Amino acid sequence: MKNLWFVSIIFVLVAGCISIKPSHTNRQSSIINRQSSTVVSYTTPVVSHLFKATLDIKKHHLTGLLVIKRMETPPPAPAPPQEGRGETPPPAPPPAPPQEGRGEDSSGIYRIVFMNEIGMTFFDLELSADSLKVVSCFESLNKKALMKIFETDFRVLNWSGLVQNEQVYLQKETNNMIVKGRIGKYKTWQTYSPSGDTLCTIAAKSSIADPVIISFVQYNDGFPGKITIENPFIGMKLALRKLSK
Amino acid sequence: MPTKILIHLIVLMAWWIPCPANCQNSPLDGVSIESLKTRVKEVAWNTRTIACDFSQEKEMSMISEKIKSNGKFYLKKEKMLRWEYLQPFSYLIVIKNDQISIQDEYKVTHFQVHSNEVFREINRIILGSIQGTLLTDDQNFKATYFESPTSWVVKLKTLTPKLKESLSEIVIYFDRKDYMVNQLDMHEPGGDFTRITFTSRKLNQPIADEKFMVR
Repeated sequence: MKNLWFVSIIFVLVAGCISIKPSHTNRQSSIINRQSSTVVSYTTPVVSHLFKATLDIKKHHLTGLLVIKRMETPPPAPAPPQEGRGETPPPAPPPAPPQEGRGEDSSGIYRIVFMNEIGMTFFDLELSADSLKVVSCFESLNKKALMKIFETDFRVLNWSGLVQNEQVYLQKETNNMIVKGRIGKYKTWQTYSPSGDTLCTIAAKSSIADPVIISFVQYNDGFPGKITIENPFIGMKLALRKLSK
Repeated sequence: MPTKILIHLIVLMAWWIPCPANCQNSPLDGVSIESLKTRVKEVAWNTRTIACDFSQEKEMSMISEKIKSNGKFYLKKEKMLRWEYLQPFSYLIVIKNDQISIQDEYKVTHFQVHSNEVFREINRIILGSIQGTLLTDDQNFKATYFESPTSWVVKLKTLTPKLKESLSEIVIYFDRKDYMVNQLDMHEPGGDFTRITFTSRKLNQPIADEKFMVR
């Protein structure tokens, strides 16, 4: 029992030390005019994105290809036929296009597949608005805690829409613009270039165990050539390099 | 009347639907199976080196397009293999005796075959297919044999639970004329599969040992 207390205290201390909030920032009194439609950032895939991927978790090192695809939103379940009428229900509306900006996409369903270069699948995940389904996964990776982290990572990566309770800061050394706010259950800090037109990083967390920092670099034709997803709490790093198919 | 026309239309359409490659396969009898095993073994025995191109396609049910890559393949007896991806990424696997070297863009790592479960299986499947040893691996696979107009087809159903998690079936296509592997299909339990096709094959040409070194 004593040991459990000790481990819990250490856990809270270690987790508490991990900060993903950008340092040296000054709050801006008024919101800077930032046209979300002109911001260059990772856009959620309409068809699919293919990346060369490197996953490092502690001493484990995996490489391969990562595919992210936004699936067609399934139509809502048809209403049960009402007695005596025999009317057919109206056709389901077409899926909504992804919104611009960096907020939660409540309608999107994403498939994320990580495979080695030879084609063997490491994991195949389906991310919906409220859950993560493990379609298939190598036994050694299929741990509940790790899947929770992946859920946060890919949910944050595929954010679209706007941040709520937005507050804008300027970072002293870099002049980068920081947008702080909330998206669903996540606290987020999004770093933009000084002109506010390029997304550089997203930091987010919903609890002390799932902080994530996603960096976007080497933009080409409005899309980042490299994306790095870091989970400081478990020491995991997923590096992605965009490949042309 | 409309039903009759509909049936005629369906029959007519079925006639025009292209038949998948598998439906042309007919099973081999016992004598032909033994003959195929013997010929594959003989060819593998007489092959000192192989150099060829390969193309790889991963077909996933979730996306309509295939994930394609290609590169160069070299094999030298006894246990030297160079598997090099050139497009759309650069990735090199070299197996020399029991050591594996990986060059992933600029990063090079070396390890023993037996220390890495994934590469141990890849090594066994790729080399075992080409050298024909998978055909007699009754502990791990149940083999069924077919022929098509162009190939001898061996379907290997995975038996071991561990391997079954990642591969449900391996299908090896041996060229009808020279009994060399020209295609390898690796099927996953979810229905996705990876097809590797070998082309521009050169047999028994000298390949320098340096080809199997990664620094």
